[in-house]
This record gives sequence, C-alpha cells and structure tokens, in this order.
Amino acid sequence: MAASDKNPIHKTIGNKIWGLFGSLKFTLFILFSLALFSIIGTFIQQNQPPAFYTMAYGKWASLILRLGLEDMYHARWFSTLLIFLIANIVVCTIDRFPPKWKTTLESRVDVDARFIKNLLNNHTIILNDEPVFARERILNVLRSKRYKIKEANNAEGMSIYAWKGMIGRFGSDVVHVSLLLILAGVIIGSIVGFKDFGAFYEGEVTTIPVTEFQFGIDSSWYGIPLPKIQRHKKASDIQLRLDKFWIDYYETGQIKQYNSLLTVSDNGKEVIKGKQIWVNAPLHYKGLTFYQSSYGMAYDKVKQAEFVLKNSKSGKAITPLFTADWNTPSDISGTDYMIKVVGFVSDFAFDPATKAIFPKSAEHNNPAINVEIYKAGKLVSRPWLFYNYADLFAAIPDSNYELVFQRYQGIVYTGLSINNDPGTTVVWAGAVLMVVGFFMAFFIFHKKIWINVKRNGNETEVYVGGMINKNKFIFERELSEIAESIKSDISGGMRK
Amino acid sequence: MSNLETILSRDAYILSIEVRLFWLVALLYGICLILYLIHLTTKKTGAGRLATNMLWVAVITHAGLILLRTFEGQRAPFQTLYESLSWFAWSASITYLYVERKWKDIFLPGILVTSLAVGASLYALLTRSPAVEPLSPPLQSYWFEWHVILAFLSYAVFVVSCSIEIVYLAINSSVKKGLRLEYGLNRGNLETFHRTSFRLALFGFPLLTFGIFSGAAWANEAWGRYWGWDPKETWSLITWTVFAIYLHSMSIQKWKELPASLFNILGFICMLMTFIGVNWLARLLGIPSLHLYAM
Repeated sequence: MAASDKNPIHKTIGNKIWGLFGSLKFTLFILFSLALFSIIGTFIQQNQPPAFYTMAYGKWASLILRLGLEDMYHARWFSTLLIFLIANIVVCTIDRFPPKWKTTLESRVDVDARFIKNLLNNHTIILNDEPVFARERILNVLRSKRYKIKEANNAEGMSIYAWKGMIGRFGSDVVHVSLLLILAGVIIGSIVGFKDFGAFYEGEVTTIPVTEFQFGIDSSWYGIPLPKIQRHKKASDIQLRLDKFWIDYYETGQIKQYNSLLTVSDNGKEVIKGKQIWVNAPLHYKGLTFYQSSYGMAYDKVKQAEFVLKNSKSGKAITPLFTADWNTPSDISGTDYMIKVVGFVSDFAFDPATKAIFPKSAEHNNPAINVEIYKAGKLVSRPWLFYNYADLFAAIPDSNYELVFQRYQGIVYTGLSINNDPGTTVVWAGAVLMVVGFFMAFFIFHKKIWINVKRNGNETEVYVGGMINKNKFIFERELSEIAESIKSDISGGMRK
Repeated sequence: MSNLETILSRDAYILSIEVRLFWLVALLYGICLILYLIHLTTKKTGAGRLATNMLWVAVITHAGLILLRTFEGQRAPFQTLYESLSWFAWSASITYLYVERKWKDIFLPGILVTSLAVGASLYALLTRSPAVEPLSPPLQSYWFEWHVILAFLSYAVFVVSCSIEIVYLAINSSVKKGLRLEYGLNRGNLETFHRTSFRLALFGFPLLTFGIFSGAAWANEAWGRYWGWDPKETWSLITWTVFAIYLHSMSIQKWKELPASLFNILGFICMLMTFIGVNWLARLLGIPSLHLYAM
C-alpha cells in the first residue's frame, strides 16, 4: 500500500504491520523459526550452570549464554516469537473470519435450471404432480434428512435452497482460537504458577510454603517498560504429614509402585486423613497438587544404630550387638557407660583444617555416626564412628573399650513435587476445544442443495443439484437418494 | 521360589517362540521389499501384486505375534522400544495396505513402507531385549494406551503419506512431460498422489495433536507438569509445527507444489526423530530423558 495524501504515514505503517501479521507466509516464517530454535534447544543441554557451558563449548559458551540458548524455551526472543504467533492468529482471524462467515451464511436462494445443471452433482426429475404437491414432497424429503430450508418464488416456478453442516466450515477457526487459549493458559501458568519439591520424613509434619506475587515495572531492557513479577515464598496454613512410605514389588522383584500415605491439615484442623498417593495418582488440595516424585534415605539422620563393644587389646567382643535410638540415651549393658546418637552423615568427608566431619553427598557410601558417651551421667567424649573404618579414633578415653559402629536403620523419606498451576485448566479447555475443532472440520460436512421447480405443460420439472466442501462420494449418494425419494410416490404422503 | 521358577521357565518358552515368529515376520517384510524392488526394476505388475499379497500375509502373521505378546504380558503390547518398533512396523504396513487398496495396480509407495517395516523389525530383533517387562510405576496410567495408540497411528499415517509424496516427487517431472507412464500410472494419478498424501497428513495431524494432548495429560498426573521440554516432548512439538507448516503451505499457490512436498518429507524426518532419534540424541549428549522406558 503506497502512502498517499489520504493515508498519513503512521496509518501506512500500521497497515503494513497489519498486513504482515495477516499474511500466511509470515505465519510459516514464525512456525519455522520456532521449530528451528526448538531443535537447537534439544542439541544444547538446558539449564546448566554457566561453568558447564564453558567446559563443553569453550569459546562458544559466551555466545550461548548471551543468546539465552542455555534456557532456550524461556529466552526473551522465544517468548517474542510466541507473542508474534498469537498476534498472527488474531490478525488472520479478524481478517478472514467475517468474510468467510458472510459467504458461508449467505447463499443464493433463487436459482434457475441452468445454475443447477452446472453443478457437479445434479438430477432432473419429471413429475406428473402439480408444483404445489411437488414442493410439499420435496420439503418433506429434505426435512427428513435434517436440512434447513429457504424458499423463493419466481416467474417460472419456485426455488428451494437447503443446507446442513454449516459449522463444519468453521472447524479450522475453532482450532486456531483453541491454540490461542492453550497459549493463554501457558502464559498464566508461567506468571502465577509455581513448583516446589520437598523431602518428607515418616511421622514428620511440614508446613507447606506457597509463593506470593507482586507485579511491577521493569525497565532494565533498553529502558522499555516491561511487566515484572516478583515472587516471595511464605509459609501457608497448610501442613503435611507423611504417615508412611512403601514400595510394592512384582513377583519377579521389579518395582511395581511407590506409595505415600499423607495427612493434610489446614489451620490446625485435619482436612485429609491418610490419603494414599502413588505415581499417576496425586493428591489435590486448594489448588495445590502433591505428586509422588522420588524417595530415599535421610543423609543426616538415622532411626537407630547398632554397636558392639570390644576389648581394644584382644579385639574380642565384650557385649552382644546393642541398639541405640536417635537422640535417646541408652545403657551399654555390662558397663557403667551410656550412649546417645546425636549426629549422622551418610557419605562423610573430613576437613583437616577444622577437623570437622561434613557430608559429601546424599548417597550412603561412607556413613559416619556421632555419639555421646556418658559415664555416671557425665559426658566423657563425643566421638565420630565410621562404618568403613572401625578404629580411626579412640571412642572412649581412658579405657580398654573400643566401640564399633556395626549397623544402622535409616529414615525413609518420600520426595513430593508440590505444584500450583492455575493455567492448567485453561490449557485443558484449549485442548478440548481443539479436539472439538478437529472433529468439526473432519466429520461435519457443509452440504448445499438447490432445487428448481417449474411447470412445463402437464408436467412438473424438478432440477436438483448440490455442493459439498469435502467427501464428495458420500454426498453423491445422498443426493441420488433425495432425487429418488422425490420421484417415488410413497415418500411425502401429503398427496390428496 | 519354585513358583517363580515356573513362571520364568514358562515365560522363556513363550518368548523363544515369539522371537522366532518375529524373525519370520521380518523375513516376510523382507520378501515384500524384494518383490516391490523387482516391480520397480522390471515394471511388471505381477511382481507388485504379489508383493501386496505377501504384505497382507506378513501383516496378518504380525497381528498374531502382537496378540501373543499382549496375552504374554497381560497388558498393551507397546511398552519397551522392542515392542514399539514391532507395533510401528505393523501399523505402518496395514495403513499402507488400506490406502493402496483404492488404487489399481500402483505399488511404488510400498518400497519405502516395507523398507521401514524391515528396518524397524531388524532394529528391534538385533539390538533390543525382547524381555517382557512388567509395567513400571509411571506407565500405570489410563493415559498410557491412548497416548501410544494415538501417537503410533499418527506415525503410521505420516509414513504412508511421505512414501506417496516421495514417489510423487520421483515421477513428477517425467510424467508431466508425458514420458514413462509406467507402473500403472497415468497423468491423473499424479495429482491424486499429491492430494492423497495431503489428506493423509491432514488425518495424521489431529492424531498427533491428540497424542501430544494425552501425553500432556499423563505427564501432568505423573510428573506434575503438562509440559517440561523433555527431548521427546520438544521433538513431538517440532514435528507438529513442521506438519502445521506443510498443511498451511498447501493453501499458498506458489508453495503447494515442490515446497509443500519437501515440508512433508521434513515432517516425516522430524517424526522419526521423535520416535527413535531422541534416544540417540539423549545418548549422544548425555541429556536425561524422562521417556527412558521407550529406549
């Protein structure tokens, strides 16, 4: 569109932008870009720390990080492409839908025999009835086939226009709009949804944190004001207790299912009691969903530990295996000592500078246990004992005893994903609408039939013709059936 | 333990029969491929007809094999990659037979379809474990069957669509010049090929969409999110996008010929990436995929 006196420059530019977004080629360009960048995203590992990229890609790392390729699907320009796609669908729908609606809705009613004979499917029927009776019979046949009908009279006789399945034409529009709905749901989820993960120990009560949002303006990107959302985590009134975690096995020993028994209380009141969840069967409460996600053994706690007391010189056991519970003092039988388990790491490391024991990982590779030893109610030592290295330090000073850490019973935890995504419902609504749209487009056919009735001497000439937007074969048969019904005597039953 | 041993020995017996039967099916697909190739080189209609009849035999035998597997595992027969590959070969072949039935003495697209069937069968037999695994926790969902059936139905349709499109591209120029009207073809077939390919993709596209939706619904229940940019998820979306490009390009006057054909083939390649390629990608880059049980 050229700029003329009538069209000021801003209007011309506006038209050009509108034209761009209304063009199908631009759609394909956007889709192609989205596909291309998605492919790149599958070849570069996503969401790793910057050091990972420096190691894997060397000098290319800075480019990857600058372009946001390490978090491709959340990069600003990926979102920009999605916004373009949304604008594109909106503009195309505004441009194309109204004229399509109009031409689909409006159709010629008054047609002559020649128009019908030019249609791909047409029949000519000669009847001995008066046109009035012929009309009655035609209308009955069409009504029995659930056609909608319009009539027009003309000089030679009359015309009938009948149609059905018009909405089938709008299946593709429904699909486009449903895609908008899905994208809207995704945007809602990315703004106000949150996801959390927690490890829950059997018997323990945990307060569930929720995320709060604050909306503001962010102008850090070239001074352009963009909406900014700040998130704050805060404790909610909802508390979760894991009653039990267990694993079901198949007869052959493979894992069948992971299960957690959960109790939820809200504001101090138990609202859900002993609800069993497993993979594919989460628990829903007040917009929060709790998913069975993983399980494991605590790395910093044990339920109980077992020891033996040996003679440090002969190495012979003095006591049988005895048990000590976590944080509970218990007597070492046959001696005047008491023991209390106060600390545990499942995979220990030793810092020579501070002489401190600290956990290296959450694996149970190299367990170490911290105990307190009391003699006559007085603390005498606080040694670490090692599962794999029996005599690293003397556990009980000034004695012939050697304490050996033999076994322990860990505390099982269940790993739960906690999720809140209000956009999900919108996404599902979009998905359902898209399914409906595809069904409309594929299974509802727009059928149009024109009939011209004309008196010719003693006879009545009836011209029947029709059109369909797809599935021509079925329509051919249907039109023949209609023609046959009009011809045969038994059809209408309205004759006198 | 004797109970377990009985189960194991019984399973091993059924499994040995089953693997032999699968070899037989692979052999049948191979014979079909050879017959189709003979049809290609000798231009004899008889070879093509024989190939198609053989393909019916292969498909029926294969159906028996899949049924056997279903009873053996007491569940839908597409959990491991071994099973999926078998299912893929079968569904692509039967879809092709359904489409070919409507033509008179045209057999060329059968070459690619049977090549894929042979390839998938051999890949399963030579590299994958045939062991019947019980359903792992994430697979115990009512979405499982729907998701896989819909996805594989779309795969099958895309395979046949692409096979026809490739034949169309191969013969396009010579037929337009009025040359080489062989292989049961005539000038009218050419447009029919391009249209049929389009209509198949038009049918496969919603199936792929439903496949993605059912997968999203399943992921939402099992993993707590409907979308997570897992390599398989991402590639399914890429495939979807490319087929969306293809379907739209068919309504652009300048693009509806060669560019559209190329988009169709590109979509097919993306579909193969979604099905098989992501496993290779995950291994190549060490990217963890949540779709591990499909490896």
